[in-house]
Amino acid sequence: MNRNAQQSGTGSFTGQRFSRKPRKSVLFTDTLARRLITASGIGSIIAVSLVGLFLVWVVLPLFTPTGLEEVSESVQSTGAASADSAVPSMVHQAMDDYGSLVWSLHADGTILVHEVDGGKLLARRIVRPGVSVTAVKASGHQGRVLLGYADGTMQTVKVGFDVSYHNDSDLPDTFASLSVGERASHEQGLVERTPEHQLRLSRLTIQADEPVSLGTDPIVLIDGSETSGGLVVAALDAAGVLFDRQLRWRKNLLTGELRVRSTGSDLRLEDLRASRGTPVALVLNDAGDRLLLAEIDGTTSVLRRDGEGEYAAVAAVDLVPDPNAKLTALAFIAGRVSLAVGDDQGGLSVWFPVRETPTSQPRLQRVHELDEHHGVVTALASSGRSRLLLAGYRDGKIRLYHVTSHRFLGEADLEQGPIVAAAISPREDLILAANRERNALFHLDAPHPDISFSALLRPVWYEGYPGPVYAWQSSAATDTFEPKLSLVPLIYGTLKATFYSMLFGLPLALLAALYTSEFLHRRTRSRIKPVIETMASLPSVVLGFLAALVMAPFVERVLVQVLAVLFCAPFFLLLGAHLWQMLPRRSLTRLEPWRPLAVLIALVAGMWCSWQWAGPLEQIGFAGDVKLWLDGQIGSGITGWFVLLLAPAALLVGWWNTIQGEVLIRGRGPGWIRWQLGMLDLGRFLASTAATIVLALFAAWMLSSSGWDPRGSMMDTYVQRNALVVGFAMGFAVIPIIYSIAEDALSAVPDHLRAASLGAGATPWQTAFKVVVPPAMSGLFSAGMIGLGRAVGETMIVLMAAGNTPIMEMNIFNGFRTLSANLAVELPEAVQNSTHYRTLFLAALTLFIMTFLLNTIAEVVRQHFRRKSSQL
Amino acid sequence: MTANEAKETQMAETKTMDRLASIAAGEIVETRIHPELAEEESILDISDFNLWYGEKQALFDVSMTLPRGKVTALIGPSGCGKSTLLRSVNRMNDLIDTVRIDGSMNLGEGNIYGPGVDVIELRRRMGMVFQKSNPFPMSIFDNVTYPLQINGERNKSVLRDVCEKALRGAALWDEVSDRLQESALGMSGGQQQRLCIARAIAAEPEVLLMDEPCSALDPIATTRVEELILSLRGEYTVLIVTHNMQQASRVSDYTAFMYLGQVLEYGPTARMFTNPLLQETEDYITGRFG
Ligand SMILES: Nc1ncnc2c1ncn2[C@@H]1O[C@H](COP(=O)(O)OP(=O)(O)OP(=O)(O)O)[C@@H](O)[C@H]1O
Ligand SMILES: [Mg+2]
Repeated sequence: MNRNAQQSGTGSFTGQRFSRKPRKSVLFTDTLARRLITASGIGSIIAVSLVGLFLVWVVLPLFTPTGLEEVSESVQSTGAASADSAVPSMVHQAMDDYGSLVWSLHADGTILVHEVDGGKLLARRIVRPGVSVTAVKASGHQGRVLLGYADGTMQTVKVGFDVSYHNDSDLPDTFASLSVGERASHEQGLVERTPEHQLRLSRLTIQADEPVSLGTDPIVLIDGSETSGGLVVAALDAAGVLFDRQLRWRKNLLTGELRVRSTGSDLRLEDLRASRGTPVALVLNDAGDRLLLAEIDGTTSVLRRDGEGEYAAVAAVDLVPDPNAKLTALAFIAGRVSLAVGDDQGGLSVWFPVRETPTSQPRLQRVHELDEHHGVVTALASSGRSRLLLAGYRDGKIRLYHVTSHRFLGEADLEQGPIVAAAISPREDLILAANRERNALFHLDAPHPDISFSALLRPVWYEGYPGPVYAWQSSAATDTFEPKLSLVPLIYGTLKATFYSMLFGLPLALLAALYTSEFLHRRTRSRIKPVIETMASLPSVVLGFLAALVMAPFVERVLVQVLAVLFCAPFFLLLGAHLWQMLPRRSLTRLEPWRPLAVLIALVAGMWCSWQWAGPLEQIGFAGDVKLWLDGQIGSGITGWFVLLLAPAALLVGWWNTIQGEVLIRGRGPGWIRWQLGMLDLGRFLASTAATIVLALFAAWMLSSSGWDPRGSMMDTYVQRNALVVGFAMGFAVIPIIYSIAEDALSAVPDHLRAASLGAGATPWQTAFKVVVPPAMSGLFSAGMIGLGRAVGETMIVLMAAGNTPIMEMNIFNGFRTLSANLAVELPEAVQNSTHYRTLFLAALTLFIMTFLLNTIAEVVRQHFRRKSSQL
Repeated sequence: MTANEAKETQMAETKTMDRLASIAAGEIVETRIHPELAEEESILDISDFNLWYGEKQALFDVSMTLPRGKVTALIGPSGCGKSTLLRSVNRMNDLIDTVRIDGSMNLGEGNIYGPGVDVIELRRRMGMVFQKSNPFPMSIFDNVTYPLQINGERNKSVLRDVCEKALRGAALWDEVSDRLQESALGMSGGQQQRLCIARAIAAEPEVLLMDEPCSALDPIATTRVEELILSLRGEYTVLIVTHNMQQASRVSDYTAFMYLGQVLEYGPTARMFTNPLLQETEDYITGRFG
């Protein structure tokens, strides 16, 4: 080497020569590292984007437009179709569960059965030949048909589908060649090969009961409703007699024959209602306790029917308020509670009874205005399992709506003649619409008709509610249940949880960070910081568990004490500080190491006092029982306002104090000795406390005497698992992360700034607030945002401690349901690809966007802060 | 140089080298204080002051007085404890956890390290300029008036007045008078340092402590600051640390020479630079070691 250096002849400090070119291995490692880092960086970006994309991909079908497409030109003829004789106009039709058979009811009582595909006539039945039918009604989706005859009798017919499964050997050989999904007709029914390779035989069963004699005049209107007490039937004859009948079936044990028994009374219509017009429609509601008689101009009398069959007029409504319009279609939609009304001006609305107050009588109200001016509505059909409503028009158009979400789903045109009857198949995949010539079949693809942006984010008026509400209720026991899928209560719950936990956690975390970075010895700081950061590793399920099972019951028991501690502890701390500064300076330096102990003593004293005073405080402030007081049953709102206003009042007084009070002290400055100044300061503090209390009391009195009560908004009925408890527990969860980032931000402020400030004679407190915090502000802000992001996404704590009721209340003493907890609760039981499932994914997407936004804002601010702090 | 002279010099050199070696070995030598200092009215009395950073002692039995209204320079090789001594005067060393002290410093009548001393008040009586400029990330105006603002001064006209006077004093007024509300971080390094000087003199301190205030400045700015220090003489007592011998000779009335935590010689600048009592001082000033 040495020789080398000499040979080269150039100067060398170390006597060695090094190659200027980097070694191969260095280059290799460098390239490898760069590739690896790039790959994993891009990989993680892709992973996150994929999560987002997947969520979007699952959610998107919620908003795809509906498909409504005509399948085959002419399914069946409806008018003069059947070879032998003309059949009068169709009044009703319905499909079987498999969308393979359709039966139609005609004005003369004829029932026809067709194959859906191809429209082949399979069966034809006239229930009671020879007597002319004068009133026809197919009521509900159970296949009950009511017929009224010219001779004043009525008859009930039950139309149903009989389905049986067979092996190839059971049926004629002709069906053996059927492949899966293929159909063939057989004995007035239809055979189809199921995916399990069986043969499914569907047949229409028509079971007609014996006629019931009502009067002598022709029956003109008839309707019935299945109730627990039997079938309630209301029929009106041409002479204006209203027949009320309750039908029960009894099986003859010997013959196996079903015999119908009817009881009831005959009433004269003019005794029952004020209006004298001729009714054109008669409907009976689901419970059989309301009878509606509508006239052509929409005037409708509502009659109440009690258990004994007595009728009384309760109200008159105008279903068609437009004076020029005439009522042309009236039908119940699923559940027989909501009434769809169509008129000849194209108005289409849905009505249901609404109770304005929980005790008042329900009143029929126009709730949904679906459409205007699309011609004369001639037929209405609804789905048996959802709020789909199909309207047929005189010009041959059909239009499909979802009632609750007000969503217009699509339209189609049959071109000739008015639509007389329409049907939506039970699976909501087929639609039949008939005019006088033909019955057209449409494919319907509307998997999520009840979802729209306004349904998700705006108040929706659900059946039975007094008004539009934000509600989340995804499932219930009954079939006719309307899922309520508003995201707003969940977003509200998320924000509520976040708000209360930040209210508790943010100040604590920030002040702790300030304290450790500015006031603690470096050595202590280096020990405390990791301890607080380990708090973050406490599983949130443990926190949630503690909150729900330990803290919630405890806080419920000692609510007054907890409220009192919130104010007593700071008071005692400040009192202690004021007393401390009155100590002579000499003992102060000696006692300095014991200061944390003094702080602890002050805290304990504050807690002890609040425990001691809780009883009297409850007596004075909350009329002896805080729970009843919160319920609003006893006491006045003044204490509530007082509790709410105490903190703002303290801030106000404190602010005034720094502006004015300090001058007072400084004026005394020279000449006074230490303990005198201390006394003065103590006096000032006590006076400020008194002023705070007086101010808060006065404001509380003002507010409550002007009639406002905080109960009902910020505080209300106490529920054990509530926002206060969640605030405490989740505050704990967010403290470590906020603390850690905030402490870093504060420590990043260079020491020479602190030195400059202290050197200029500033106190550590002034230094902290004037010099350290401003440049760290953006770091503190981003700490808050990241804490916010954590609180928004937190699941276990809220799941366990928030009660999970999706209500929207500001009340700190009530629970809520967050987006995240909702996902945890409902996603496991949601049927894949159902509306519910996709809506849950939408909730997840919302959560994703919320946390993404929060973290992005935090990061942008942080970058900005980094650029700024590099100048320091 | 004759052979004789050369030999004398060499002997003297070996002698100083011996002394320096023995100081390095831990010998405590007595400070040579020139008699002129006894005639000055002192504002700060340092006696037998020792300071430790943990186990390591940084100042050894420092005893000196600071004459009121005069500029005193602290010179000495790097790491000899000049900054430490300067920081001890306004107790900035308190910020370092490991620091322990012994001995006393008296400002007026009160002991700076006495038990009942209000450190905040003490620091308000002194202004400090650091080696590295450290303006706050605030406006120029807020920077200069910071010492007054933390003292509760809210009267805008007083603040404006003081700001102008201090900036003029620091020879900065003409450059920044039209952008007082702009951030101080947008100024040049030299301007920032002068801003810190303005901030230090804004509160009218009794003693101004300057730790190598010109080390980051260009010659023109250095001249400005030196002019400022000269103009402060009489009104303020200034203690300045510098590595620049010319600067010490230009601005200071008295000079103290420190070596390894001890003050070896302390006297009028003119004497120190022309005719010091100690050979070591002369050697250091002339650049023979350091
Ligand atoms: N914070 C500290 N902790 C431990 N030792 C320190 C600390 N600050 C200074 N010292 C030591 O004290 C001695 C004196 O340092 P000081 O900064 O006072 O030197 P100085 O004379 O100002 O040097 P310079 O001219 O290079 O600024 C040095 O040996 C240094 O290592
Ligand atoms: Mg130094």
